[in-house]
Amino acid sequence: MSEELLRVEHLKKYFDTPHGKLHAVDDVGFILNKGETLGVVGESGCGKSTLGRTVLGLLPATDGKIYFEGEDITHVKGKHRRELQKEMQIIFQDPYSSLNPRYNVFELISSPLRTFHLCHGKEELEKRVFELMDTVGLARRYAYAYPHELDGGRRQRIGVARALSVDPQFIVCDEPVSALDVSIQAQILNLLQDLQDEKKISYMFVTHDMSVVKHISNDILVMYVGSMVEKAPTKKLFSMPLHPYTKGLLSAIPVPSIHRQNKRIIMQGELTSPVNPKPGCRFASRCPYVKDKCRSEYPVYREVMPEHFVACHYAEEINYLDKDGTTSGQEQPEKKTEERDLAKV
Amino acid sequence: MPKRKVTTSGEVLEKHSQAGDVWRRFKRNKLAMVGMVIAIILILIAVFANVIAPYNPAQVSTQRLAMPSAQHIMGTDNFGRDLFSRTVYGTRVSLLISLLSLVFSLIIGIVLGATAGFFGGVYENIIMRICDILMCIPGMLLAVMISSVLGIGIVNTAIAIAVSGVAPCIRMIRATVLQIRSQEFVEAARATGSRNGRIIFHEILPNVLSPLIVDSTMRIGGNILQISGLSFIGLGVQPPTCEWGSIMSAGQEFITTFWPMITFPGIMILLTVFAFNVMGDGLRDALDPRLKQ
Repeated sequence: MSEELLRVEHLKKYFDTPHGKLHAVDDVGFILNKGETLGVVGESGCGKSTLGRTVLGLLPATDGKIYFEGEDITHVKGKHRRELQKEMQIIFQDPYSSLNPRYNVFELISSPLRTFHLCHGKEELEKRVFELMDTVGLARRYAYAYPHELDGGRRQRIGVARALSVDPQFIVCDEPVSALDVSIQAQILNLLQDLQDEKKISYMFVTHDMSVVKHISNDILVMYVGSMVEKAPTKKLFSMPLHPYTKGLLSAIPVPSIHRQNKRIIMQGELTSPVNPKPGCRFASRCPYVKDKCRSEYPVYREVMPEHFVACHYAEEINYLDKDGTTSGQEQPEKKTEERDLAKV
Repeated sequence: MPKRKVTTSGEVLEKHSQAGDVWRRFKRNKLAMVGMVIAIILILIAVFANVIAPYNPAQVSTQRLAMPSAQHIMGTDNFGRDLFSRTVYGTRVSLLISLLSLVFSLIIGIVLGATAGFFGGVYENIIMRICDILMCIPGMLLAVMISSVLGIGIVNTAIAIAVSGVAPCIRMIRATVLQIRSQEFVEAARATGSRNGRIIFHEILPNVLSPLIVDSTMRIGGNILQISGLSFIGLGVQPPTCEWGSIMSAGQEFITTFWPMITFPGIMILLTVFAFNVMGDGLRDALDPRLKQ
């Protein structure tokens, strides 16, 4: 078994809004091992990025616990927090706004080295920055170029180099490739994987792109309106998604084949508001299998099959699961039930 | 336009210092260079006023309101004082007060504006409400109030003008800081261990520079006019000390019959405002690496 690096328990992050508490992250927990990658997927606004920032301590957690190497770091501040920041870094989504336009590549990459006093003397600093540029595949001739002179891929490499400069054990990748062209996406993803193999870095990979997450993750956590709906090892999740929301997400991945006819599950209905959510399953308003219980009772997040967690009252029934965790049959659900239409009115 | 030292694919090849970069970009802007030369000349005039002026600016004579001649190249004023000497000495006072009050208001503006925008909350509210109150009072009236409390003198006048003009400065800086604070590179700086002070000075303020420089250079001209206003009602500088505004306001009475008294100091104010404005524009462009062409 690999060693545990990060453990998050019942993490909550609420924001105050004029209309009440916005549940951006609600009762999320996971364990991340050294050198592994956790993919966090979900649609826009489901709290993926907030989760990443809360884990890093950039946003204070409302409730819950975060353990890093077995130590509770939820409310660590000051000097100790700075020490932690050397171990935990972040790569941002937008390579344009995450780089200060006033500074050139050298200054951007050397900034963390300066703030943490990791290099002594100009020569050592220069050597380290050029090393980092080599590591991320950024030609040394760009050292004195400004970010606006570079393309998205190169800018993102600056972001990766900056995160790597302090030699962290854990990096939150906040949709690092969603702003890039597909060809450059692959380059950056391969770079991240190479770095992982080399330095045993753990990633929390936040994205809404299922094919990206399949490529890079060991485990996948699916979020919906702030709460976890399903978590499983990548293979299991892709071969047998248990939650209706995950099923919908997976059916949206385009399949490059003319022979396989994929039946798309089209989501209907409105997203539940994350502000003061009502009791009950948050996916109830869009779920094709919805029953009365779903609207009144919050589904318990439970291990339905080994290592496969899901938050759905009817996970077994929907998937025709036997007690030993195997499927006894597959059947397409009715898309719209009478009951659902009535509920919407 | 001179060539950039980059290859066709946009690769920047050699290392160069930031100050050198700024100067290289500034030099390309001809108008800004003209402005800078005028500004330097004005400052030299102010420094060497006692060498340049042919007469004592306070020395009266019987030749009152004389037209420009070889003896008095700008003529004389209503007390027979040499206008050229007065204008030259006036440069000293006008520039000094104007720049001094600019420095005062920039210090107050940057400290209060940046912290208000960055920290927010009750602190921001208090500062911004004080600004609102200050902005309700007409600038001139406020300057009159402050300088009548502080008394006359160069530093006091500078403070009065600085305070009366600081509210818009604070608001402008706060607004820009608010806009930049939400950008991801600020969060990136925090994630890489930067403390608040470093974030404000190293990440945010360099990005506030552009609007700040434009605003500052515009204010130099405004300040000079305000000094003259204060002098006119006896709260700026006291006679026989002179500055451009006070010469002009004294010449107002004779505007229809004797033009030099109002024209020459007027031209000086015009030149100063022009010089600092175009210089500021050029500086703003030169400081922004995005406008490298």
